[in-house]
Amino acid sequence: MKGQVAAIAAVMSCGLAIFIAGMTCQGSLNRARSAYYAESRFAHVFASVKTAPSSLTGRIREIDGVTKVQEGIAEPVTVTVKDFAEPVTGEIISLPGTMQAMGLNRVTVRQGRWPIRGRGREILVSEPFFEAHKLALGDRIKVVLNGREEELTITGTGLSPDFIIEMPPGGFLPDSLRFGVFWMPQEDLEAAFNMEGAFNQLALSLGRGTNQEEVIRQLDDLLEPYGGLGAYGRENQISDRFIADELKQLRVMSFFPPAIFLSIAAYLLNVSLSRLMNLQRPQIAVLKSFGYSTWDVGWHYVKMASLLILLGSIGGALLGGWMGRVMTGMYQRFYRFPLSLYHADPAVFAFAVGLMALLALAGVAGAVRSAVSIPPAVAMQPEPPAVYRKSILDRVPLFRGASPSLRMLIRELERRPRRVFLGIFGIAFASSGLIMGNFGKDSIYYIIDVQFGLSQRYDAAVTFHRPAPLRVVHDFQAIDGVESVEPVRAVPVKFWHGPRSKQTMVQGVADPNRFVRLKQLLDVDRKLVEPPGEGLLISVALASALRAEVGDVLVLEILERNRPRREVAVTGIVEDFEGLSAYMSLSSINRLLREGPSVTVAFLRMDPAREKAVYKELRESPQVAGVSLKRASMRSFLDTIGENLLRMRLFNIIFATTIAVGVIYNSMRVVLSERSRELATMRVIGFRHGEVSTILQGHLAVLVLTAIPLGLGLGTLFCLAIARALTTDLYRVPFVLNRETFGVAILVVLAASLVCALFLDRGIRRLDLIAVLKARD
Amino acid sequence: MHEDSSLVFAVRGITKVYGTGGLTVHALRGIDLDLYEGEFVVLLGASGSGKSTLLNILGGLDSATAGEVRFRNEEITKWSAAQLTGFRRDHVGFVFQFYNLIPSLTARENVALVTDIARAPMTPEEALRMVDLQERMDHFPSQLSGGEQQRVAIARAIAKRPGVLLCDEPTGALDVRTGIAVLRAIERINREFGTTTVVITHNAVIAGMANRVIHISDGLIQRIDENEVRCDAGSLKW
Repeated sequence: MKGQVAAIAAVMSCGLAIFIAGMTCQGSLNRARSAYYAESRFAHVFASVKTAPSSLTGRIREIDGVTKVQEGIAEPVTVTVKDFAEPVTGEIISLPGTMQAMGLNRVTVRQGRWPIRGRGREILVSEPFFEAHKLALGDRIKVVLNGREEELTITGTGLSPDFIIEMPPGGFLPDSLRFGVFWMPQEDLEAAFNMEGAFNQLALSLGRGTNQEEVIRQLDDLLEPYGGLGAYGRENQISDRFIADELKQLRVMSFFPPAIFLSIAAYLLNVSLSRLMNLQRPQIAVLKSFGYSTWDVGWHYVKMASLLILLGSIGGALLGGWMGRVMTGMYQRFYRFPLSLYHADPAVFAFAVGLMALLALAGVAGAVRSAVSIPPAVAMQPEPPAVYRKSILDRVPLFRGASPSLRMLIRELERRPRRVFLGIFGIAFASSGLIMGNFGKDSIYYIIDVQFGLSQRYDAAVTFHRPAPLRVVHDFQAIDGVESVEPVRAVPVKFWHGPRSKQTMVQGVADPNRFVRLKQLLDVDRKLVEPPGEGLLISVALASALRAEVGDVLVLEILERNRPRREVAVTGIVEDFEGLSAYMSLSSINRLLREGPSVTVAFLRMDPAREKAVYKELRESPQVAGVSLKRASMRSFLDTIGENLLRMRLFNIIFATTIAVGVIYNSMRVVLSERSRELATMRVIGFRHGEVSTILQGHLAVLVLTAIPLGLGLGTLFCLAIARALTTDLYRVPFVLNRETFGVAILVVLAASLVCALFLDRGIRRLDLIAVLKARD
Repeated sequence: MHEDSSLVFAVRGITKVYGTGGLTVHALRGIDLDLYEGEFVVLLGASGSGKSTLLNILGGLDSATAGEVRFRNEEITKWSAAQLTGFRRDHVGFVFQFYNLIPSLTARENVALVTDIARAPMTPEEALRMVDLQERMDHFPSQLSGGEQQRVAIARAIAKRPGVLLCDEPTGALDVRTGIAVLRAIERINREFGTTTVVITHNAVIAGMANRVIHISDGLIQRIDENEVRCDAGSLKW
C-alpha cells in the first residue's frame, strides 16, 4: 500500500496546493487593494482634459454626490538615465506641498522625503523605476519638460494607488526600465509647462449611493469646452482594470483545476480502499462475529482514510503555502503596494482542507458502507467467482480467433466500465494539464511572432506631445541613420454599436502610396490587410466587445476638439493583441478633426549602427514626448513574462505528471492486486513472466491510449476556455497550440505510463505464487 | 520393482527451511523419494506436515534449501526461474484446492489458455470431454458448481498431456459426491494417459486409489504403503 498511499496523498496535495495558492494569491491581492485604496483615498472618477482653469473645480465640486475634487497636471516625458542608452519615457505628475494636502490618490513616500518646491527641481521617483535602475537618493536624472531638458534631483521614492501597475502607454506589460512615474511639486510643474492656474487631470471621490454615470455625464459637459477627453470610473482606470482582471482570472484558475484534482484523489481513495477492504473481508467478518458493530469496523477504515487525508493536507498546506508565496511574489513584481502583499489566511487553509476532506470522505463512504454491511457469515465464505459475461466483441467474427489473454483483457475492461471510464478520464485530465501548461508559451510566442515579427516592421515608435504637422516626417527622414518613417495620427474616440459602446484610440494610417508601411495590419490568418480606405478596421477584441462584424456601421465620436460624430462602416477585422484598437485612414481623421495633415506617432526604421545617434537627435527634439524601441519592448516582454511563464509551466507540468503517475499507478496497483490470483495461476501453469505481464500492460495501454487523444481534445477545449476567460479589453490572448505542445504532452504521459509499467512488472515478478494460490481470495 | 528408465522424479535429501534466525520453520527435514511413470501416489499427512512444500518443489514452484530433485535425470533444483517456467509449461499439470480458474474466461477458454502455449496439446473440447463437461464448455466459472469448476481445472491441467499431474487437496473444498466425481476424472487421466499423478490429501480414504501412499509428518517420510489392489474412485466413501 505504501506506493498507493504516496500516490493518493501526492494527488491530494497537488489539488490542495493549487487551491490554497490560488486563493491565497487572490486573497492577498484583494486585501492589499482594499486596504491601500482606503488608506490612499483612491478616487472614484477620473478625467483628462487638454487644459482647464483651476476655477472650474468649484463648479465640479457642486455636482451632486461629489465629495472631493483633486486637480493636477500630468505630462508624458522622455528621460535620460545615466548608463542606460535606450530611450526611457515616463509620466510626470504634480504634487501638492505635503502628502496630507493630497485629497485623493495619495502618494506614499517609501524612501527619502517629499520634494520641496522651488528648491531647484526635486522629484519623487516611482519605486519600481528606482529599483530597476538601481538609483540612489540624491541621484539626478535628465527629463525633457515641455521641450527643455532639465536635471532633476531624486529626493525619494513613491507609490500611488493609480499606478499599482505601471503600464507604459500602448504596452502590454510594465517595463520599469523604460517607463517610470515621477512626481514633482505642483508649482514647479506648472511653471515648466506654462500651466499656472490650470490643470489637465482630475480625480473625484463620490459619496455613497451616488449615481456615477450621472456625475460623469455632468463632468464631461463641464470639461468639454476645455478639450475634455471623456471622464471614466474607477473600473476603467488602467491600473485598477488590470488588478480586477487579474482577480477574475485567479478566481477561475484557482477553482476548476483543483476541483478536478480533488475529485480524482477522492476517486483513487475510493478504488484503493474498496480493494483493501475486499482483501480484508475475512478479518472484517471475524471482527463483526466477535461483536464489533458495523459502525466500529467502518469507523476503523474512515480513520485510516482520515490519516491519508491528514497526510495530503500537510503536504498540500506546505506546498500551497510555499506556492502562494512564490505566486504572490510574482504578482508583486507587477503590482506594487506600500504594504506587504502576501497574506496567508488561515481561513483559506481551513476551508481548502475541509473541502478536500469532505470530497475524500465522500469517496470513502461508499467503499466502507458496501464492505462493512456484508453479514459476517457471508464475509467469511470465500468470495464467489466474479461474474463475467461474454463481451460485445465476442459477437464480432474477427474476435473469434482472439487469444484467451486478449479476451481476459477485454472482458475485464467491460466488467467495470465506470472504473475504466474514471481511470481514462484521470489520465486524460493529466494530459490536458500538460497541454494547458504549454499553452501560455505557445500563445505568447504567437503574439511575439505576429506582433513583433510580422506586424511591427519598425525599430522605434516616437510619440509627440501634441499633434505635429506632417512635415515632421521629412525632418525625421533627414536624420542620419533613419531609413524610413511612417506617420500615424492617434486620437481618443468612443464607438457605439447599438446599445454597446467602447472608448479607445483610433489610429489614422498614412496613404501607403506616399509612405512606407512600417506597421502592417494582419487578419486572423496572419494575412496582410490593406490599409483602410474610407472605412474602419477594428481589432478582434473590439469587434467582439461591440459585437460588430464586417459591414456593420458604427457611430464614432472623437473625444477631441468639437467632438464630431460620424457613422463609419467596418471594412475589416485585424489581429491585434493590444486589445481594443481601430484603424482609419490618416486623411479621414484629419478631415473629421478639421485639421491639416498632422501626426501624433511616427514609426521609424533605423540603421542599427547609428541607433544611438538617432536617439540623441530624437531626445533633443522639442516635439518628442517618448520613444519606444521595439527590440527593448520585446526583451522586456520576454524578461518579465518569461520567468513567470517558466515557473507556472513547471508547476503545471509537475502537477499534471503527478496526476498521471498517481492515476495510472493506483489504478494499475488495484488491477494487479485484484488479478494477482489469475496472474499467479498463469505463471504456475507455465506462462512466462513476459506473457503474464503483457495482460496488465495491455490493460494499461488501453487506458493510456484511449486517454491521450481524449486528453488532447480536453486540453484544447480547456485552453480555448482559458483564452476566452483571460481575454479582456486590455489584451487578447490568442488561442494557439503548437504541435510540440501536443508532442510533449503525449511523451510525458507515455513516460509516466512506462514508469508505472516497470513498477507493475516488478509487482508481477514479486508475486508469491504459492501464497497467492493457497489464499482463498 | 521399477526400471530406471521409468523413473520420473528422484528426490534426494531435500530440506526446506522457512525464515531465518530464531524464527525458522523446518518444513522438510531430508526427504528421499522416487516417483515412477504412470504411478498414482497419494501424499498423506496432517496440515503443516510438509506435503504441500514437497509438491511445490516437485512442480518447480518452490526451491529447496538443500538436496536435489531430478526430473528424468535432469537436476531441476539447479534450474533458473525461466527453465522452471518451461518445465511447468511442458511437463506439469497442477490442480489446486481452490480451482484457480480465470473468472473472465469460459470453461473452454480456461483450457485454451494452456492449449495455446503447449507443445502437443489435445483440444480444449477433448480435455473437457475427459472430465464430462462437454455440455458446460461455454459457461463462465461463476455459472459452474464447485465440482464442475474443479473438473475444468483438471481439464486445464491435463490438456497439455503433461508427464506429471500434481493435485493439492483437489477435493478439499468439495462435498463427497462432487469430490468423487473429481477423483474419477483424475483416476481416468492416470489410467488412460499413464500420467504420473501425485495427490495431496489429509483424507485417508483417498489413499485407497493409489499405487503407493506416502505418509508424511513433521517434514519427514514416516512410511510408504503399497496397495496391492487400487480401489475405484467410485467405490470410495467418507
